[in-house]
Amino acid sequence: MKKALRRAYIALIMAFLYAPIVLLILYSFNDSKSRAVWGGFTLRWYQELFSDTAILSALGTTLTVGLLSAVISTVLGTAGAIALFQLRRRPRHALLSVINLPMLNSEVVTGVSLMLLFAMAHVQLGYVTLLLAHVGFGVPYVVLSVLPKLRQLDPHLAEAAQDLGATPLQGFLRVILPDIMPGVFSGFLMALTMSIDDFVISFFTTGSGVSNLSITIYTMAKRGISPKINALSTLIFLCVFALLIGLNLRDFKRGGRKKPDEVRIPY
Amino acid sequence: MKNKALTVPFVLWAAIFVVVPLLMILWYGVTVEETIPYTEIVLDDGSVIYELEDGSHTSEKPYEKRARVSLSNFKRMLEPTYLKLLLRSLKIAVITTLICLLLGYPVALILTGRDFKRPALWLMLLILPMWMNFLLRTYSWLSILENSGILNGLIASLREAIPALDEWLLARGVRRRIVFLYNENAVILGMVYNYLSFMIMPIYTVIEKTDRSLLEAAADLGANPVQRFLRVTLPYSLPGVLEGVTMVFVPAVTTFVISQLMGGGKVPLIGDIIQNQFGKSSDWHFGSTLSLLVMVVVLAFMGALNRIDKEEAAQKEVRIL
Amino acid sequence: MENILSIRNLRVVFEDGFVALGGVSLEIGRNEFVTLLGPSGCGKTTLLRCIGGFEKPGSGEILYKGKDIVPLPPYKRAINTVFQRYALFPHLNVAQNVAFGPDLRGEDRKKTAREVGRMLEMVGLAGYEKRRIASLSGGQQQRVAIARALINKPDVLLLDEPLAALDLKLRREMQLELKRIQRESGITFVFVTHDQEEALTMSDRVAVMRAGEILQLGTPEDIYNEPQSAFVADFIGESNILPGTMVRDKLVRFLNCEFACVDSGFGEQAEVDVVVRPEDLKLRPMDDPAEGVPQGVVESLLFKGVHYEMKVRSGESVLLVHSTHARPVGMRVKLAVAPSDIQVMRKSDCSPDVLKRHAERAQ
Repeated sequence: MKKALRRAYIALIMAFLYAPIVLLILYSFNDSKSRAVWGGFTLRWYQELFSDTAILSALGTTLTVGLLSAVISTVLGTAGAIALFQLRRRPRHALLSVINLPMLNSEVVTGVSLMLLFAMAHVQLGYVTLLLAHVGFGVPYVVLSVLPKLRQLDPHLAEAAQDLGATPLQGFLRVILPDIMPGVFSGFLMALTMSIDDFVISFFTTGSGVSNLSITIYTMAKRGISPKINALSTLIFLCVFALLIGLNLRDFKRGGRKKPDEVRIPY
Repeated sequence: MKNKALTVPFVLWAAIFVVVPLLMILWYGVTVEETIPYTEIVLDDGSVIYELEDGSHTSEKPYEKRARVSLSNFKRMLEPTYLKLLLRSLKIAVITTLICLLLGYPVALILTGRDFKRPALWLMLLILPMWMNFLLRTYSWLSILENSGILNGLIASLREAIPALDEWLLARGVRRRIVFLYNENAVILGMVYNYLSFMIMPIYTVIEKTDRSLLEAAADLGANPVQRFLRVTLPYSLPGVLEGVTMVFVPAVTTFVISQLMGGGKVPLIGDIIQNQFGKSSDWHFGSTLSLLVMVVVLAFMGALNRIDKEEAAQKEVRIL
Repeated sequence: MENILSIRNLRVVFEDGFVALGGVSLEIGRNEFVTLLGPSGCGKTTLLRCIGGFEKPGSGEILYKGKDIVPLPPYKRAINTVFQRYALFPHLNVAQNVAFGPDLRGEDRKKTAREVGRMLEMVGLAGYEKRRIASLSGGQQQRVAIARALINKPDVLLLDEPLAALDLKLRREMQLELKRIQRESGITFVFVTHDQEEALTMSDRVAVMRAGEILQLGTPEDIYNEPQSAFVADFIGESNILPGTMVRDKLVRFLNCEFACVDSGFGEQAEVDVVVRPEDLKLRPMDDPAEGVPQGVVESLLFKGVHYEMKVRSGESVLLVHSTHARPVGMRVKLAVAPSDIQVMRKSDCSPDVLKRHAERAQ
């Protein structure tokens, strides 16, 4: 009885979380522009999607900014985490507080402050500022996911590699990097997720007609959102679903109870 | 590996993207923009020179605007209009955070129990919605809740099927079409929907890490399930709760999109006003002052939370002794 | 033939001002098994890390085959290390760990694979090639760490408390194993430990260290039988350390009696420390004809397996005695020591400490 109650509760929460998403997916197959009417099943929006240059270019911006900023953030953040790790206590704590600031600050403040920064530097708002802003907020996520892995590292691994004839660079590439890779990877995924889902910071730091999906949707929301966006979102959702299932499949099969930090979910 | 070359780019990043932008906000926040007064003088030869306040002359037209240190924006910020907005934002954020905690804590607790063999899968399902654009997800609620939306449709057909229910509801003054949207409750719903996972994840992580033998030890010492929860699970999960509260509260205080979509512009929050200052009204100085205010409120909140955290930690140490 | 390693006046001062090594010199010969022994903080690990290249000495030289290697980074030294916690690479399997060195040098893969097999066989892990590091027991990880170092055919192998994490039985096994590997491979071993029994079992020579200095260097027998200071006597094995006076050459006074001994050269009426090992103290019945020997009462009796351990009170002192004959508690006895079993040492700066601790046994 109690067990059934617990399961029902989880089911209810899941329903709450997924109801709007299921609805959205349904609408993407609805042969009617209005949300109120079910006009029959169609794949029309999927076809039209691929000829809508505005949406496709927004998708392109979202994906390229997401990937580029995630890659740059990962490189900078990993280097930063290693640098931080080797600093002495006091400067380390000072720097850690600084990189924690953007995560504690609300997105509005971060977005506004970056906008002011670009204005001061006389940089025209556009693709480059968008990318820079996303690198700006992506780095802390990488640092904070790499640092714990560095702390878990056997302190003698780097020495052992050098002892066996590896130069410091070889030692880093062959021993340290593979070992902290889960942290680097989850940092990369987090930076990517945050970048793709971001609206607020993008809103303040883009311009010159460059817009990503979030901004396109925000603009559309006032006039009514095209079912083509629903179609696109459905595609993205299914891709990510497949990807995450694929990444975690082995773990699910094993079925064992895993520590949450071993589960490859960006959040 | 002790390479200082790694530290330099990182410190540069921190300076450019964290410290300088915040200083910019501070600078804009404590200044106002004003027009430089000047008189145009047309000389005999037809050329124009400009006389400034201090009586000096220049042949180039002076910059029209300059920043002047002034606290007038702080005065403006304290006007009832803005204070009311801030209070409403805080109220909505607190309610949202409490609802998320009440809904989310049991989820975390149940998922760490033995009912669910594959917590990783369920955890993933909790996170997955975040991969659908959050504007779109929120927007989708509109079609459920709007006057001619799905929920009203369901209720209407239910009323048609059971006339007694219809009469009963009418007698209580419930209209045929219930207005769900464009009020504070709708905004709160939108926020709970968007931030619930932020609450569940940290709590789950902490409970999962808690040593199960502690529970067994408590049971061995005669604690019943309720006592075990109150005396072991709850105190140990407190850090997770604090992190979850932060992760929900901070964005909830300052959001401006959810309030626009779910509130239909009728429930403006402090975030909306900030957005306005940098958009339509284009008063960056006042916008920065408001940002400073939000920052101070959030930091004060964080400070208070951290104190709870520390007091709790100190208390634990005493208990060990 | 020249020594393979000559350490000369090595000095290391840490950033906080702590003197880890205060001018240490040590010669290590080819095929030798040398152990650095001492309590934690004595500088033994720092000395090892200097030889490996992980610590830069402030001054002094480390000559390897006659050439100073202090300026060389670790990866340019033909010296390998077995780390305390093994420092195996967790993302590589056993074979990949062992092949790490040869792979870096770009050696032929097939040849390396054969070598890896040979090494694993030598350390008793044949067939473990594909196993993950995390799935190995402590002792097995230990063996992999040794194989990973030895495959590079170093002339010198440094071992930093490699057996500290193992349980007693396994540690005994690995001690014999390491000794065998060292004999068979002909490699010079420099071994760090704080376990005196381990040091005595395995080494050709032992260097006892304290506070950044080598107090005594010698064969295990020398160190045990002829400790040159109270600290060494106390640290190595069990002992009775007593304050005494050298009456004249070959006559020492302690426990209020005079004993013939073999030491000389201390001067007349010199204050000294006297060491008598528990197994060298003989208990005689009271009707024994010996005259002028200390008398005592048996205070406690413990069965220790191969022998009995007795505490015998004589005046102010309580003495530890090991014997295969048990004497009942309360029995009065005479104490006897052969002259060659009395070790006389000069007073040193740690004598007061050691004497105080030994005197506390009386309480």
